[in-house]
Amino acid sequence: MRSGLIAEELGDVRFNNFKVVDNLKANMEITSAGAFWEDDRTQINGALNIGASRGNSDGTGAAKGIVTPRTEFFVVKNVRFHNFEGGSYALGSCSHCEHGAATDSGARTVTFEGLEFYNVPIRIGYNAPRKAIYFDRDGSLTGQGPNSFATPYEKHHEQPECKFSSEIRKMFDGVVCDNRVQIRRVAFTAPAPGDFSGMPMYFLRYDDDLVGDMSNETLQEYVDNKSNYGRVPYKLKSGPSGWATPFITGHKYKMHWGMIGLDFTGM
Amino acid sequence: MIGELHNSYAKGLAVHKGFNRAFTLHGAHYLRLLENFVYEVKGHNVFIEDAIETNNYIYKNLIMKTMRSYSGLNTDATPACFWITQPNNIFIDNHAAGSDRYGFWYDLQTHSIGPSANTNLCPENDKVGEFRGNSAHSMGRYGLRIFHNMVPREHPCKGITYDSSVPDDPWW
Repeated sequence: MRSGLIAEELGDVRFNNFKVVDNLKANMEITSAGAFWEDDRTQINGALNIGASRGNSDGTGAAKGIVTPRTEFFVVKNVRFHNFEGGSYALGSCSHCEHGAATDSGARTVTFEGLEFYNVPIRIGYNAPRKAIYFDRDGSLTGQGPNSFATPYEKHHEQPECKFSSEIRKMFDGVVCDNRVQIRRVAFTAPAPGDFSGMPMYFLRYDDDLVGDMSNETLQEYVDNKSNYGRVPYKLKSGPSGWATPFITGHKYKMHWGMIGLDFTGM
Repeated sequence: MIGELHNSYAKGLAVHKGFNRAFTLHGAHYLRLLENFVYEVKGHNVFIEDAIETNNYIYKNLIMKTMRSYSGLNTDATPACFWITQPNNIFIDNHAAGSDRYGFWYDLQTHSIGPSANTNLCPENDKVGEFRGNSAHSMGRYGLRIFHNMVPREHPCKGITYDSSVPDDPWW
């Protein structure tokens, strides 16, 4: 089957003790779950989620175990994932966001606890627009302890509280951060002047202990080096159109639109 | 359109190679549909028609090889073994074993429809009866589909509100 469970718009609906196996695209997929503005309402609780079983004659398992919604306030807990290999993942983000008419700009937070992984070399495969924030109450997803986070890799996410080695980036499709920081959605909307509409926004790590000791020449080289920037594309149809991105809290960032040197702080 | 059916049931029946549905629940409440078998029938097989039907008990039915139909509703072209327009019904231990599209489809309606049309009823926000122990496999698309909405609330035709005076469950 394409999916074991798929749901479009949910309120306080709880999927308890589901067993899902061998579906082609996703074992479970929830598109929208934002009717109640608090966690532990809409949720998956207690599922057995198997990517590929031995009874699967064609050898193709689920591409993803659970595709999480493009809204806040969704919780996944007490789920066992088995046998997600060969280009499949236990978790995927932002259901149906890959469509051009998708209604959200991303960077929504989903909460997890009590996860177990068996034969799952890659736990997360973020869907476009690759901005999801995964909050891990007990560390069972990230391995970084209680109240840790996972989010896709961007250059400005290379912070000391986070891990982003090649192994981590492969296993989690991004970075994982411990509870010394939080990862929060920040949205920039209704830009004025309108000239910025459509431009990507760029972020540069700019902590005092990073740039404070740089000479003017070194600092200019750091600022001019495009590879030091994280990039957030402009997104239409995101409520108010604009930019939304995960931010790792407790740090300073320098922001630009485009790569033409427009400085937010000087405007 | 018969209303409440506390003493009625359909039990142990076999329906096969039909051209238009197996069981239609139309304006029926409290009907029991028990341990029936359906094979190779076109259109939605177990069909809750007007989105007004409630408290029906659908237990241990086996529905196999549901086939699309182009002579019923538009949705019969993408058929479900169980087409559920009203959430306040009880589905326990049923098996959906092969369909051109879906196993269980909660196609919850904004208001009740057909001869029961009533804008004062809002099935998509009504409470969910019960759904447990059911299985689905070998579907063209989805085992369980909830589309479009399932947002149960105390007052189905009113918006969701937050009442801080009820700390245990402040959402209505």
